[in-house]
Amino acid sequence: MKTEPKPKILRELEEIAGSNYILHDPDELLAYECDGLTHHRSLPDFVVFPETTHQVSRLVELARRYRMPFTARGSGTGLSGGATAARGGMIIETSRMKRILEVDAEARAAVVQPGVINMEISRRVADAGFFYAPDPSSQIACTIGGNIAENSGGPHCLKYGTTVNHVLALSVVLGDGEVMELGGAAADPPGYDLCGIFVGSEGTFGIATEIRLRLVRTSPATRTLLAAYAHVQQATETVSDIVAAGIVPVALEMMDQAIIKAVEDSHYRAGYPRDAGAVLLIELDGLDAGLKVREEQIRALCQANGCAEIRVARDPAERAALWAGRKGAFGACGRLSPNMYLSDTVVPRNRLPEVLSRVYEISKSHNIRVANVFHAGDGNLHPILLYDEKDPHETRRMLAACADIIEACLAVGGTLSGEHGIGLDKRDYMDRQFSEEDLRAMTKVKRAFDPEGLCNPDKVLPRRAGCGEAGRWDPKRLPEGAWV
Amino acid sequence: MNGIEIDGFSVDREEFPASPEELSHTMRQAFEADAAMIPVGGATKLHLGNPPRAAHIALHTSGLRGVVEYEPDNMTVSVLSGTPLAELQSVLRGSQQFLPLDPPHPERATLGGIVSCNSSGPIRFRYGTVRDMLIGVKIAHPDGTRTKAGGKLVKNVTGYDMCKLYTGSLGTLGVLTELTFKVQPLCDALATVLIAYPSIHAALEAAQQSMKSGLLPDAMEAWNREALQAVPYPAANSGSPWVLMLRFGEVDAAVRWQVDKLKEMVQGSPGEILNTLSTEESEQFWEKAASARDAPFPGEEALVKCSVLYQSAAETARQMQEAGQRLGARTSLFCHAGTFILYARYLWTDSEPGAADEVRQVFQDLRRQTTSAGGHAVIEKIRPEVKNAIDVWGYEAPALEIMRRIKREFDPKGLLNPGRFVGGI
Repeated sequence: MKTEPKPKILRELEEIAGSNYILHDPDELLAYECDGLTHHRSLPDFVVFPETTHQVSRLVELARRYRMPFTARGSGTGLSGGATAARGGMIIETSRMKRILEVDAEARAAVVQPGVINMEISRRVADAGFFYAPDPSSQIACTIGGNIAENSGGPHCLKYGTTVNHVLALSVVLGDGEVMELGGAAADPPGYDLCGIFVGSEGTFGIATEIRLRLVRTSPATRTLLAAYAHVQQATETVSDIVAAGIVPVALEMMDQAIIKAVEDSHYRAGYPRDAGAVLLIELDGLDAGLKVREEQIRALCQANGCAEIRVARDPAERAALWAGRKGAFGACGRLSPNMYLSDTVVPRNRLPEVLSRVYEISKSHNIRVANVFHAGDGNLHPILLYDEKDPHETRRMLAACADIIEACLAVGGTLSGEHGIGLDKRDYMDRQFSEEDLRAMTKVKRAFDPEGLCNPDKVLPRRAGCGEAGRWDPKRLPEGAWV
Repeated sequence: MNGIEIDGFSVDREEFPASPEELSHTMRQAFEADAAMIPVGGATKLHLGNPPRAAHIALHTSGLRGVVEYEPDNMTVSVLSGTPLAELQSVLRGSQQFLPLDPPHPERATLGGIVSCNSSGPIRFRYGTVRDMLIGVKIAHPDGTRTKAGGKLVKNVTGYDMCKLYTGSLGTLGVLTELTFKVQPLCDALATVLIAYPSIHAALEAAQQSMKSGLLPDAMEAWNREALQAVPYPAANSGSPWVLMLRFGEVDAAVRWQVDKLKEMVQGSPGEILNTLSTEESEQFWEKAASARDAPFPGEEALVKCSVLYQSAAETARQMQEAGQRLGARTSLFCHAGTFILYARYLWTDSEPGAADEVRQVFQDLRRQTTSAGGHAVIEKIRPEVKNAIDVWGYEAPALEIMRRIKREFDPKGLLNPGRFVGGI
């Protein structure tokens, strides 16, 4: 059902983006009612596919005139509802902005548009001896724009840092349509680090339309080890020991028995030992001479914790296979239950063994199956809670288990999210971690970037800390003069 | 530390709060009295920024000193903001760890000051800067309100990343009281190779070449002869126009491999190896090198920082040298050969510095050249008379409007370090 003013807006949207690049039919919009977090849904009024920064700027100006909220969206792989149009309005979809604009080997940098797929960058610069380090598990699908919004992580962030450590400068369109550059190509630009705080602002400050990324030189040598254990506790103790020994692997990932089985039963099959209680995937990079020493140290620590088996990938193909299992773990879990909720919290690394034990206890007490695959070296837990959304009791138990896991993490000085973001999913937990004053400080920054509050509203900040909670955008209730 | 003076301003009063609570109380009183506040740590960087519009109270953080919580097995440390860097390093060293920051004067420079000024040094090439290691803050805002952000997690996307906002904000949004960092393991071994080059161009090219050959240095510095004289280290002084210094840190075998590989690379190039320093020698050398650009000097001096891209780094060095000739000053050039940040230190030893207007003109020309090459030039140190005639930051981009809004949100009365930051913030 189209409300009356839509045609007028539509005409204007078409004028900006072209009629082939706008969706407004409710059936077509259905695909955009949520992102990877499927239990929060809200239908946008329009989905627009701009191609240039100028078009994005004009779309945002139009949104402002109509007091219409807007939300940027890449591939929609986010897991916190960040790309869901919470109040309706317009989704600005970036899939047509997918060009790699520049690769500068000397400066170790690349300039890309927001719709570029994460993996594409490493692919493009590999021949020059570089890669783009942040590697979320969804990297074959997720966009850099989305990575910027969420400050995405990934297994290799243990050594190299998350997205924010790899963003040098941004061209952004702010809530009033103004285009500006944050950060800069040259090091240490003067002024506040607006580029730094923009990354991870979950699209609530504006839309990044051009991104200058840091490239990392590919290490001369890599070692990938798989260590299998009878018990989860032995694996987590090994992780703590590796960190305590001052070894910084590139990646230090853990998978429990439920994950191992799911992976081995799926087409991501990686040859993990099926009967193991847990496996660690440990990757080192650097110089061959150094890796030999580190590998020995790690082997000793694994063995000291009762490791049953250690395998070393002998060639790139074996390495790729070991990683395919890890990266496909979430997908493989699809076999285990109709629905799953992927939690994301972080704890200090020395508290990992006790917190993981708590996760198993919690899931047992709520009678919810859990599978664990996570960035152990960062202390970044990802319990996957398995449930059936058609069963309201089970759904409630899943949400209760999820809340208990969050509390258990906060109790040891942990945090609500390590890489998936707050979005719609966890904003009502924010005051569990932050005081009213802490949240007010964040609100000040939001106001400075987006005084009118149209930019991806209702995300990150808890309901009452935001600038007043409005309802859904209603094109029939527009301010005077909005049509002029 | 009494008698604080900033660009010729003497403060009316100095406060030495002994705790974050006391600091917050002092700030609330100052806020109510509309008194301008100047946060002071080790006073090693008071020369940064434009002259303040007012300076009533110096807020010293020397009473906020000590490690709050150090968890070697989580590789994180929380420290009060008035703690000198060297003091923290000696605690971390006990567990074979360190905070990979090497700004000048670690024995006096405090963590709060280092974060506020985003100070760094040569090893930023490998380890990055404050923004890459600061994971939690506690801060007192101008009205005395205290907030926190982040935590002791190495990965955290809960809410906006306020640590980034406060890093390099020159104390204009609040006074940091506690900082949490992720730390790094100390390297088993270090080595430094010093190589003479006839030109900066050749030195920068060699630095690029070393990376392409698979070397992973901690630091790559190219300094001119003048600059090396500030390092009282015999092995460094050769008389050659430029010296490239590469530091390697790793397990012993990997360090030796890199040194050999580098030596191989230098053969048949215009470079000449002057010296190779052992682990202990390297430690001593880099400790001295870190403070060289800010070594004490009794006379008139200026310090300018230009950041550019690789393509224009050699040309910028030439322009900075030329500026020195116009100024009639001795020019020391310190170039981060991997990140293309160049510091020029101008010392007037045998001549009188020119009139403020002349000096301003030279720096304006240098800034124009740097900006047109896609970079920026910040005047870090110069006498107040010149500062009054030129904006030391030279930042005028549209984003300044957002910065001003942020400042107004956090400090509506404009009481913290008023006027010292970009755009008169």
